[in-house]
Amino acid sequence: MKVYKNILKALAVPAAILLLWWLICRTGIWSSYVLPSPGKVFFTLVNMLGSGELSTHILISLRRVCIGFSVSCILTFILTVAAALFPKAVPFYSHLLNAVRHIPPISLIPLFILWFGIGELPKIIVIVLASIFPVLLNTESGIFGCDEGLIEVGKMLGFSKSRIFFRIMLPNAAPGILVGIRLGLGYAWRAIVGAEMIAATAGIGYFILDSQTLSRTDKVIAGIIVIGLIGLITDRLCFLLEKYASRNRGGKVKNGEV
Amino acid sequence: MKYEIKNLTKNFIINGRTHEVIRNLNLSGDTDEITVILGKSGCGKTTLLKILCGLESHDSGELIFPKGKNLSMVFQEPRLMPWLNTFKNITLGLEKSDIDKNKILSLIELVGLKGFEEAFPSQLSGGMQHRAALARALACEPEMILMDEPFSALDYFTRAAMQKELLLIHEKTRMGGIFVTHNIDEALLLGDHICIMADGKISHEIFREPSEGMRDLLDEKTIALKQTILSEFERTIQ
Repeated sequence: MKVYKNILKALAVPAAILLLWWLICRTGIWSSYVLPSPGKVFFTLVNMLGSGELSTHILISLRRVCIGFSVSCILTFILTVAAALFPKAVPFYSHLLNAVRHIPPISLIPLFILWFGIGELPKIIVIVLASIFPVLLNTESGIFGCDEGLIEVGKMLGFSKSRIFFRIMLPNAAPGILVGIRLGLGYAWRAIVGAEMIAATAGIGYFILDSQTLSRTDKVIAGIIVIGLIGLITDRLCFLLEKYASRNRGGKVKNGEV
Repeated sequence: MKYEIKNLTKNFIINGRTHEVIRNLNLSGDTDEITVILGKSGCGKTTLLKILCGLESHDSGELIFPKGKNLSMVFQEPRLMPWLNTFKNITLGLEKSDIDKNKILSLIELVGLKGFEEAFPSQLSGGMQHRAALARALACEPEMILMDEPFSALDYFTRAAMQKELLLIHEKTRMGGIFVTHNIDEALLLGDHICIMADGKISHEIFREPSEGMRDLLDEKTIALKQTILSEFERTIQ
């Protein structure tokens, strides 16, 4: 019963917006070129899904996000393990990383195109740059914010440094790491759409820009809705994982509002 | 087995000033008896245990003391891993191949956690968490256990039950240890060998005959002992 209630609550505002949108279209304030009706967008969406036009672009974008985000996670893992086992190495790169963190990856695209062409590599790099920092920062704060008392238990039991890391610090940080992954995935998704708008021949970002040049506003809106929906789905999946990881910790994660 | 601590010294440097926490401390005893170290807060009890356990270094002195797998510690807080259930918390220090399931289950029964093997720390009461922590220390089958005020956060009734269990376990396993407390009654109840610690050293030692079962706190001998301890504390304050 509660589940249905929550679904109803979640749908109330979008339904109101949809209604408002429909009403505005009915009054004819704006031409259907500027704002196509919800019905038209819906049929365009269904048609494109049926013909597979949209799914090819979605799959290409998703593939890029998967590759780029995996690289981010692997780099995070390497950097965190290195920082845990060799803390003296941290000052060599921490300031550099902090500086890079503040550069919007999109601003680097002109350079990347110059250096790497318009192939897959620059897009992957943009995703890595956009998504690695939330993952890295959350992982680091989870790992190095570990309760000293738990680490002492490991030392008392005669654990080696790496065993303390893998058996105590890493599982202890799992909920925090998952928060980072959730944020990072969102950033990756946003970055790829932006990158595809600047330099691509396929992908959901390219699709939106291409539809705009063809004056197909209905396709633009349909593309935007699809981006939002995919983001929502991945976020929910991450949230479920996060909930699973902290299931025994006395209700740290209570609902989706983080 | 005998253990011996000779001329142990430990200084802490805080804001450029040296604080002598342990000064020329000497202590010796048997690994199978319960030695209680009794002292006020801040007298260096916890630091001593941490040095013995290898969690803290010392500045000078000699330690002839069980090491590594032969030594286990129970902290003031249970310090269980929140993501592991009771069984996995208790076996945390063991290699997978070394886990004898029946042995661990009987240990869980010994500390009164039967039926809670699958429960997570957040599902256990404070007393149960302390019992799980005790079982984790026992699971490594050390020669000695160091206990740092393990029951101080518990209410009177839970503490009494835990003390009883500890004596029972000691009787069954003959595994001794050093028990640190600031509670005189607890020291009188548990200790075969009671050491009063003040100003970073042992100021007074009391040796008692091993008891049969629980000691009676209202026994004349025990009351006299309590008076000795109290007057010893008075003396150290002056």
